[in-house]
Amino acid sequence: MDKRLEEFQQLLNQLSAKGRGATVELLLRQMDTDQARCLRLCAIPHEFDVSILRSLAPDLSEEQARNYCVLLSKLSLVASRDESFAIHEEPRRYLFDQWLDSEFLAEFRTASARLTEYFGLLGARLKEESATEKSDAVERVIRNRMFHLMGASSAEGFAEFERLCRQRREEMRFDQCETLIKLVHEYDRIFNPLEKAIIAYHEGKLAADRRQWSAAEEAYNRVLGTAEVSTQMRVKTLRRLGMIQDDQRHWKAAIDFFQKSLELADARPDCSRQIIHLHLNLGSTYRDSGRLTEAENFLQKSIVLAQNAQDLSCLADGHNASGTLYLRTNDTHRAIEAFQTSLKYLEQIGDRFRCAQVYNNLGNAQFNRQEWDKSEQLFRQSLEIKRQAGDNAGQAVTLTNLVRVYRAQHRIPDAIEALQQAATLFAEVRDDYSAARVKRDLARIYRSMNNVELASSSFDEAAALFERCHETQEAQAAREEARPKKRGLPWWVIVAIVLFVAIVVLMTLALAFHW
Amino acid sequence: MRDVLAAFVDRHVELGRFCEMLENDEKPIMIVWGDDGIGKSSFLARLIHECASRKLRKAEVFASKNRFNSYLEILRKIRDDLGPELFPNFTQLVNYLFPSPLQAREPIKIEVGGGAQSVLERARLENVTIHGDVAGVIIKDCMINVPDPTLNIPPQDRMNLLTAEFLKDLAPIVQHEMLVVLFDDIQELADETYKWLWEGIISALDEGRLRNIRFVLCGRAKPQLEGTAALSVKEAPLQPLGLADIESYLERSNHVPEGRAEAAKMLLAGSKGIPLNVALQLDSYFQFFPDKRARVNG
Repeated sequence: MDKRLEEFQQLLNQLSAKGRGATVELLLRQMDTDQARCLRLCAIPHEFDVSILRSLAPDLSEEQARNYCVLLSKLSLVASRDESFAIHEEPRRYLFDQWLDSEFLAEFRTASARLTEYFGLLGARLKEESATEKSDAVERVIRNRMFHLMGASSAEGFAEFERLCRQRREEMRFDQCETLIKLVHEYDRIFNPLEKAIIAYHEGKLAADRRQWSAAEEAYNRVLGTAEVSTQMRVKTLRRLGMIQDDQRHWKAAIDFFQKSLELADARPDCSRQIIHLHLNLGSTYRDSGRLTEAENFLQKSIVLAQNAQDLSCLADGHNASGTLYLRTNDTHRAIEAFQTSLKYLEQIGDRFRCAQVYNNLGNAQFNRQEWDKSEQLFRQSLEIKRQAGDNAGQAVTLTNLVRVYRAQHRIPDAIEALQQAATLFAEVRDDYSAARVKRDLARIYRSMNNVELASSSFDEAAALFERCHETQEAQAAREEARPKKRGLPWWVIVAIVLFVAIVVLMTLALAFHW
Repeated sequence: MRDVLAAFVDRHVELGRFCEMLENDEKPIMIVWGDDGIGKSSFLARLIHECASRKLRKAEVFASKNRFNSYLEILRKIRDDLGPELFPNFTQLVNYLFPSPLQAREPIKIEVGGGAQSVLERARLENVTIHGDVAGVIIKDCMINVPDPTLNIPPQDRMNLLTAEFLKDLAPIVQHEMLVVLFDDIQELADETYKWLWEGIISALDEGRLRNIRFVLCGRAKPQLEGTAALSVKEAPLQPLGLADIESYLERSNHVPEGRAEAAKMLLAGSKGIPLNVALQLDSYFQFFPDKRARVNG
């Protein structure tokens, strides 16, 4: 072998022995020092161009930066993306991870601060030009700024990350939340356990929003498994775990989590808001599981606590939950009073969207009083607001309530249409259990119309959905309902009748012969 | 990198499958998967080249952590690749659902007659900053991502409406002409977007709402395929390169004939045939041995 080739191979072997990134290291060693520095710097952002490179290395002139961009673009690991360049993900990860080593961290923080400023200015300029914060380009710049702010200062970066995450969740743009979470994970190596727990908490909330229960549970358990997490954070996480159990109708497990959370909160002033929420959660879950006395105690206490804290939002929730409880005890008058109080508080705080839930409940109360028109009007009011909010699960629930009004008025085609809409909406939010119940109701309507075929297929769909959410008993019951009922008398009745007739005939004959 | 590697990695077997897919509509979806650096993007570049040489319409969606990972971005990208003027209904709906605060006025329209023109010749522009395309007629939307809060359209309905409008515009485009839509790094798509891609877009092929479309989906892992989708898919798991591939790469990268075979062996040993590593090592190799690269005129 050529002597120089041998030399090259030795170098390659030496670097390969060091593990991952050998080929990138080899390339960097062959490059001119300044060019190698530029390549390393360009691995901090996800994409680079002349202005980003100049921001990373302010000592470079425009022309120098342009020349380096041209040189770098010729490398196999750099791809051109529209008007910018991107380093292939694997080598970029290697170079980015190197920046996170303690020896380079100070330089990295400085470069990240410069990028934060760069994207901040760019965002402001784009906002001015498009007069909006909502354009694709501005949003991308805002994400980039958050990413580099995290590199410049963890605390400020986290605050921005949490702000953006909350905003996107409120807008129900879960894909955007996922993107933000993916971006911050690039810093995993330098995050302390507490910071990792904060990310896990947001991952849990996102998974719960998407009804991915096991992923949500796993993320929340990661939070709880972190020793550094504050008591307040533990209280919040236990409550969230309770909420996902509650959403799955696992009442006992939900109550256990809420109780644990309440015990941990233990009247701590920093947990006061959580304590009110936990009373509300416990009251609602006890109510839904049929333990109405406990439910009333917790809900009343939540109202008192909210009053003391002058928390109008919680007061509205407390009265709404109490109204639902009174509906269950058939105390319609008190229920309507409670719902109206709740509405009053919601109007005071200007929360239009939560009014939708209360209108729905008022609709149920009017239904109980057989006020069909009032009930329908309230359900429609609720539906309209829920549509505006993009609350698919809420719309589905209200539609199933509206079906009761239609059935009471014998408006069967309307009932069928509403149930079909509800089933689609429940399927969209992956609520299999509710979708199954809707399908079963639909099947029963078809059966009452003597449409055996549609009834049977709807029962089958209901059974499959119950099966999917492990409600085997209900699945079995749905399957049994699907079977056409046998007409006629049971065999033992027929035997009894035959025997009776035979005895009567024999007795008659015996009497006839006797006489 | 995409362009550089594409010059040499032919991937004959996989390319053959792609060509079969173009010629036969039985399996209109191709999934390509392999670890990082195995050459998915390079292979995709090869497919793009193949589309270009066959003069086929194509749209390229290279998803990343920060780009093209939501349904709206993807629809806009396909529209812009094919020509925004072909999607008037979709664009109109986007502008309706995601209005710009500046949209109140009529969009700027520059009328241009037939024949060769220089759009801005002798034009006098004041107080205008041009960031995007300058064309005869400007049709693109304002790329707003946050919906109009005064509209009563839930996110899911909005997505369905936009997809339906997009497909309505797309249907006549692919009536008589083939379109190839190529996705890279599909693992970067958000959960909702991935589901939407299969259920909202690709399913239109199955349901017969679209024809003459081929999809290529590149990702790190083989996607889970369910139902009828599994029957419509050609698979192309990418494997590391062999010695002959690397020699061929050296030749196309203008390595002088002398010492080429030895260098190929060395690169195979050092890279384990992973294309990205081969390419990176060759970059270093040429820096180390500039004389091994033949000068190319022009």
